[in-house]
Amino acid sequence: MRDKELELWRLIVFGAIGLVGFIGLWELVVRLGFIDPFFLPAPSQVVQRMQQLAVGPDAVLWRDIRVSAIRVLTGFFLSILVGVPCGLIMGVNPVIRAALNPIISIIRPLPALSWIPLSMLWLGIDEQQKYAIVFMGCFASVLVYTTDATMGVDPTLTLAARNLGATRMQVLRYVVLPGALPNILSGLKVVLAIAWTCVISAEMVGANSGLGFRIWTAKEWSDTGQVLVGMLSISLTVLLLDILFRGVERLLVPWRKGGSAA
Amino acid sequence: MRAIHWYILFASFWLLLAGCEQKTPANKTGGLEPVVAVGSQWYGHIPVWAGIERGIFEQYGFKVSWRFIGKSMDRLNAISSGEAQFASVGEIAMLSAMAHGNRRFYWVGNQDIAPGFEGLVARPGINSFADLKGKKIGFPFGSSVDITCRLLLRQHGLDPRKDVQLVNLEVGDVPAVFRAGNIDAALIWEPGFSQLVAVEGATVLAMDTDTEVYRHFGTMTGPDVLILGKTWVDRDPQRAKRFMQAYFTALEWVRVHPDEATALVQRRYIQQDLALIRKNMKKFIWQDAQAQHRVMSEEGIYPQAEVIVDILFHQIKAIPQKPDFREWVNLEVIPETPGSEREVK
Amino acid sequence: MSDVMIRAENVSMTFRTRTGELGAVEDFSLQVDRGEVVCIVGASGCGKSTLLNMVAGFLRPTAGRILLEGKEITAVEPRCGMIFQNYALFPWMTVRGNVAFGPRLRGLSKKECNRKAQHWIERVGLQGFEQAYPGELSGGMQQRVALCRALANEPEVLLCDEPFAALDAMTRQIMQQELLRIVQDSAKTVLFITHSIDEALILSDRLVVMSARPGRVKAVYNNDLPRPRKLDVQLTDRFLKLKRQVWDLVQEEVMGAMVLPVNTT
Repeated sequence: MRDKELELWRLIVFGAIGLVGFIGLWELVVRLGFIDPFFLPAPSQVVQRMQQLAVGPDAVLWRDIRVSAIRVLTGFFLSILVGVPCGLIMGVNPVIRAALNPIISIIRPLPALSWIPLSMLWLGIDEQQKYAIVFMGCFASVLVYTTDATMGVDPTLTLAARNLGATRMQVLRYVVLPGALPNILSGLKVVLAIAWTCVISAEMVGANSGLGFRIWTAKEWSDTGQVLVGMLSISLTVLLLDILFRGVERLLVPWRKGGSAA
Repeated sequence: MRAIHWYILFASFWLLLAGCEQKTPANKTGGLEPVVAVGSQWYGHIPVWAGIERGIFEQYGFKVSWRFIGKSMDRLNAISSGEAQFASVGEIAMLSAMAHGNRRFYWVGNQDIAPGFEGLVARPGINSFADLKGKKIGFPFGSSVDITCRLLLRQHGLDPRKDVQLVNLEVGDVPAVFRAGNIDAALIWEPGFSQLVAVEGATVLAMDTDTEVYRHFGTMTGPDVLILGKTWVDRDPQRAKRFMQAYFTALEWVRVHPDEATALVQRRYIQQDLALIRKNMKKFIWQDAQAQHRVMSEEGIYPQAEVIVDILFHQIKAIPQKPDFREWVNLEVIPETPGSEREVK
Repeated sequence: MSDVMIRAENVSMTFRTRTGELGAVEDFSLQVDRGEVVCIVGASGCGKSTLLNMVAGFLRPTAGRILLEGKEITAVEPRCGMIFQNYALFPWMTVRGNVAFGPRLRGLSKKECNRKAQHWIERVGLQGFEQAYPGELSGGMQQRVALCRALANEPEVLLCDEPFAALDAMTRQIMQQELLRIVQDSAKTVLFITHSIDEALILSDRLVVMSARPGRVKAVYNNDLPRPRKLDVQLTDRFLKLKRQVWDLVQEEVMGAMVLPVNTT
């Protein structure tokens, strides 16, 4: 029950108060010397560092964001391309589901980081290796979300379609896919955030650009400010992508306008 | 109240797990002071290893536990956090940390002089620096080879930012990535360097001894320096001094017994062929207590450090300002006399 | 012109469950003529829906067989259009999309599909809502769309699985009238399941009372209420007399079903 949902303007105001309060407190404890700026630079220092990285002749931030975003999206879309059809089939066919489930259960808990040694061995250190790490980190989740979403589709809808003369393929295309789509999309939204954690792992080794690379090398140089700029950039980029994703969701799931549909 | 049972079950399970953790409190070290030392597989650490294995630290009242951390900055951060007390780290990482305002450690010495242990190796078909144009060179960013590489490229008229593609690699990954042909050239120090050279048809294009820094100062670009945790030293400077005495005693033992030392550290600390370790150790010079007072001065390593700081600030733009590294130096913990071998039974 | 449309011959259906076998329908025989409206009345859980699912081809009987126009039903049967209690509309399709779904599957041109859809949408009075999504409609309107969707597919038989059970009393009456009108106009064969005796009497030519589980034919009544009917037929003496007869019989079954568990414990 959402009995106490605030109006939009209140949400914005309280959100802003929380954010400003948090940043102010952070600035204060660093300025007053409670925290060594080497361990945690003040927000003002982070902003300054961000400015250095974002504008001027040595600006690398935009390129880093672009490079990482391309890696994330490529791996992410590849995992959708493979994971969604497989998930649909697993969702509707209990035999295939039973056969593949153990494999998925083995792959799913593996963190992206653990794929680095093998991926380097098989694919080297070029872009494909980065895509592969993001892909491996996302694929199993996409599959599981799709399978769950597919199994959640009201079975009477399938019966209704069959009753109207739909073949099994037509049921899959016209009933199961659109029926599962809302839940697939909310699953994909979670996976998109996972994809970002993967790309940061992928850029630990064999990279010379990207937000992950920027963070890892900043660590090598003991540049905590730059580490925070990298982290902040990830947060902002994911936030932006999330908003874009919501737009795509609204476009693909128009029947959920009010979110009231059962 | 069924839930209570679950809480009890959960709590006892957690306690069981916590009990399994091997903590060594002071009273379990038999009255010895616990010290955590961190380092890599670099030969420079041999005195520490020997000190642990030969019980030299224990004679001075310390229980030293060794932790492997491959990268200099990670070691420095372990010191800064207070979790470790003694480390040797690359000079470049140290200077960079200073520039970024890390004041949690003392620079107490220079570990070794060992030029000729790192170099630039190219894959078959690349025989000169001219061939490197547009090629991929891999090494761990922010380490001594980072500077070595940039210096060498510049000396041969190549712009490290435009003419080649530099790729960041983990220390341990460099040989494998090079062997697989994913990069065209690589730089790393021992023991990885030997693995690079061992690749069939690989050419050593240059060593760290070919850099200007070596020509001027006779050191490698980023020699390892000795670091102590600041709070640990400040709390009891005499204890720190005693610890360094133990270290230099161990160093002395290694110098007198190179073959025994080699046998001691092989496999346990360095996974390398015995003959290769022996050969490399002959080129290796550890700075003893007396040498420290000479090296840590304006006549010693300071001008070299100035040059490195300049490179970091102007060329690589990795540091926001030039730190006055002298503020971090603490030579009071360095004993006046070298530890003698006689003290070791 | 009394040719046989549906013919159930000694149909039985047993479900295998974790706790053992469960007989849903047993030795059920029934014959429905073309253009006839047959209502099946029974207590809940008597196997009415199972029976309907077998006619639709969703389930295969474990014994006996069901014939449609003399041929055994072995697969999902599009000639038997089903109307579900929970409407089963596709929430991602507009009203027009839902209604045009059947024709579209048969590969008709888009124009033809829309023409057909529009015809039925107007027939049930949903014009103006063509572009609405089911989620935006009331329950009664949704069931109209479901009815529309089934009819647009031009089935020989309409199978109705308690279609108005979830509606409020007023809407329910209106929908009954609607169905009565459409059925009388189109002369469709209808197999209608309900637990409301009133509904069964208003709609049916013949009324089948099913026994408690496992479902069997308990009794068959010929509903001689005059056609064409309107809802006010409920107020006639004949209606009330018939209702009383059926009522007594059904009540017996309901009581039996409720007492049963007490006896076994």
